[in-house]
Amino acid sequence: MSEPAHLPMREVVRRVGALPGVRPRHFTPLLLPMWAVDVVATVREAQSYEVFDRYLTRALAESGLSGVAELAAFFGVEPPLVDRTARFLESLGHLRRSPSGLTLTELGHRSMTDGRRYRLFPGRRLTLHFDGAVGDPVPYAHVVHAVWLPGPALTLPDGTVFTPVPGTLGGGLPADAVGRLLSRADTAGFSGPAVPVEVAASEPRPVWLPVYLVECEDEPLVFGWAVDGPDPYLLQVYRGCARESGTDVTQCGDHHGP
Amino acid sequence: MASTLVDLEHPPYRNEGFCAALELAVAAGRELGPAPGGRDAGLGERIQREAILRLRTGATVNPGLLPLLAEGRFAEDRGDPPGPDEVSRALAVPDVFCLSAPPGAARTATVLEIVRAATARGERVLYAAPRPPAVEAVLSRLPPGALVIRPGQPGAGPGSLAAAAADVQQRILARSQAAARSLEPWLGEPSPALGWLRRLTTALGEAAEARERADRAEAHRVAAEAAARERLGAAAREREQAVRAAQAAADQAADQVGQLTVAVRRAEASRLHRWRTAGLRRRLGEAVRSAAAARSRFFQTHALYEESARQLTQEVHRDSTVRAAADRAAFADVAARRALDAAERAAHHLTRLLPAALAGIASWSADPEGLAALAVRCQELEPVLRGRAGLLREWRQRAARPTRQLHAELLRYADVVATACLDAGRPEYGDLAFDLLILEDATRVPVPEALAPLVRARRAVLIGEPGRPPLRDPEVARAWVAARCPAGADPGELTALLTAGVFELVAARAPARNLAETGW
Repeated sequence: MSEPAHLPMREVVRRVGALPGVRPRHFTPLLLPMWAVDVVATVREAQSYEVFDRYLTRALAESGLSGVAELAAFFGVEPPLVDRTARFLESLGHLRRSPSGLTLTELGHRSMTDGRRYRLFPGRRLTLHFDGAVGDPVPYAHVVHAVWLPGPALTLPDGTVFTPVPGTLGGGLPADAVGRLLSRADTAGFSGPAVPVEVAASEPRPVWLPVYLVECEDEPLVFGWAVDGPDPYLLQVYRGCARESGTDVTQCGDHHGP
Repeated sequence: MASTLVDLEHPPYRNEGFCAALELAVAAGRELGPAPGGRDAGLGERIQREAILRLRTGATVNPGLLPLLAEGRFAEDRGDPPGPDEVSRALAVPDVFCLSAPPGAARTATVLEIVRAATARGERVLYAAPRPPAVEAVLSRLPPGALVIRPGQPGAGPGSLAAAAADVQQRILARSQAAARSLEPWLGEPSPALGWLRRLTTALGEAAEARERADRAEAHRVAAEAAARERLGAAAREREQAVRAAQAAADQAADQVGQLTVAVRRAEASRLHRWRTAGLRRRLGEAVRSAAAARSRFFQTHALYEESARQLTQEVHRDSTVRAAADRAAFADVAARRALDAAERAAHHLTRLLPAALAGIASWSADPEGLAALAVRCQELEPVLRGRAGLLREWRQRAARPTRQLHAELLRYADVVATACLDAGRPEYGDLAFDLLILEDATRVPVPEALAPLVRARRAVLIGEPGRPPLRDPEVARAWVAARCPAGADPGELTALLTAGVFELVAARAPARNLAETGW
């Protein structure tokens, strides 16, 4: 049985009614325009360090030791143990061997700094999501806790009809949107635990995110599925879409009184 | 993990059929019961199916394993001359070697020697058998410190992961103790060594300042002495001038004597001017007397000048300004020497705190340049040694705690892992790979079961025993095949998989260089 695309209207009405000090006027089911980009990416995944690999990495970074024999003497273990640990880290791309000894790669340094053993996996297929207003990436929690519609039409079993916010995808996704996402320090917040580091991206395709816009006597509220209550992120996206479209989106779609 | 090699000349259907036959053999094992000596097929079925999946998808450490088992395609002969004995031949074969040997001391010795020689080459050995093999004999053959693990060993018995982890931890603590002690002075904020380094640096700075002050005081003393000499030396200067005048007069008189002497000699030698000789001799005599008098006056004047100069020196030294300047210069010089002594003492302390491995930099000269070079070198080393000290302390604290976290790594890095065949497919083995598999009693191991260790090994040595009975009654196996073998499958191949061990199946198609036989 497939997951429903959104909460029924009555559930949203119930939740809004439970919010103190909120006086709703209209409930408007809307489809927020978004972008999805399917990519084939080399992703970086984090694992926990074990014991020898962690300390060997730290020794290479902090102690100025680089030879297998001197590292073995430093740790008080047999040289083959160091050699095999180095071989394992080499297979992960964390270090390389040179005539002067072992040296950490950039991935090894990054892993040591973050305390997580990163590993690169090429050829992973991912879908990255961006908002339809300014092309900013969508937080991962919203990516996974939402139903993304391929077309601008949705009618729930209770008869609620969602209508799209008009005219905001005409400008297309900014060409550097994926690049900007990859260069962010917090990419994992948008891509999930498999962080893309290199991608081959296809053409972006429009997708639609069903939300409820709740007009109130003061600030409007937006209800998605990622957050139990009003969703400030989706409110921000909604406002961006309203600004971009230049239309009064509250006049779109079905309106339901409180 | 190795990837599958795609061979365009040989279509994959043959290998796919072999993999399907392996799956059927696993199913037959479940229905017919385990082969004699084997484990309960129910327990190992998942492991066998995973091994078959790895074989089918090419996720085997030896990428040629599937064509070798399915079609008998061994690695090509590179033309290397065969070794003189079974051990060297077994180690030289790039894929699978079959050693036929009856049980006994000779076979045990050969197997142990293969293990020893492989580990001596730095290879990781998976030592497998239908039942977990004993490791005591292997341990006795390997050098001290070699890691031999028998993961199936419960508790803390020989070769168990718990025992190996405890042993490694104890060795770490024992071996790193001296290094930890020698690095201890570099620990702390600030560390004792850093304290001495700071004292050395400070003392060197103070010594440089004191030396500068001493140089300035000396220059001031010299200037004061010159001023006093100028102020008090009028008489001496007059006498100095008189000395110069007397010297000039004496020199002039001496010149005149010389000229007259020459003239007298010329006149005496000339017939024409001989008459002048008497006159010239008279004048020479007067000149000699005059020169002697001038010389005498010069000596008298010089003696007076020397006396005057000596008196001037005494007066200058007695002069209060000069004495004060000289005292200041002497005190400043003493202070500079003391500051340098303090730096030298700090250097001695610091040198004693350097680890023995850095004895090379412990030789230095006790002059400002040598001490400054030592301080610079120690300043470069301090963060490194502090890092080492901190890291080693953490490492030893980690080693002092009992931990199960080491188990997975010990399994990954052990020299020899001894295990039952099917246990080599257990989840804790993950993606482990081995350079060499030695499979004991391979005549008693069905192929699906042997796959669990085989897929993890780059090379394998199968030890078999000639003349063993089939794994199952051939009639029962044929009956099962006749009833259950699907269309398209090879009944003969399936029957062989059910009745023969991996040794017979591989040895039957192996070239001569991949086979050896030992006697009783």
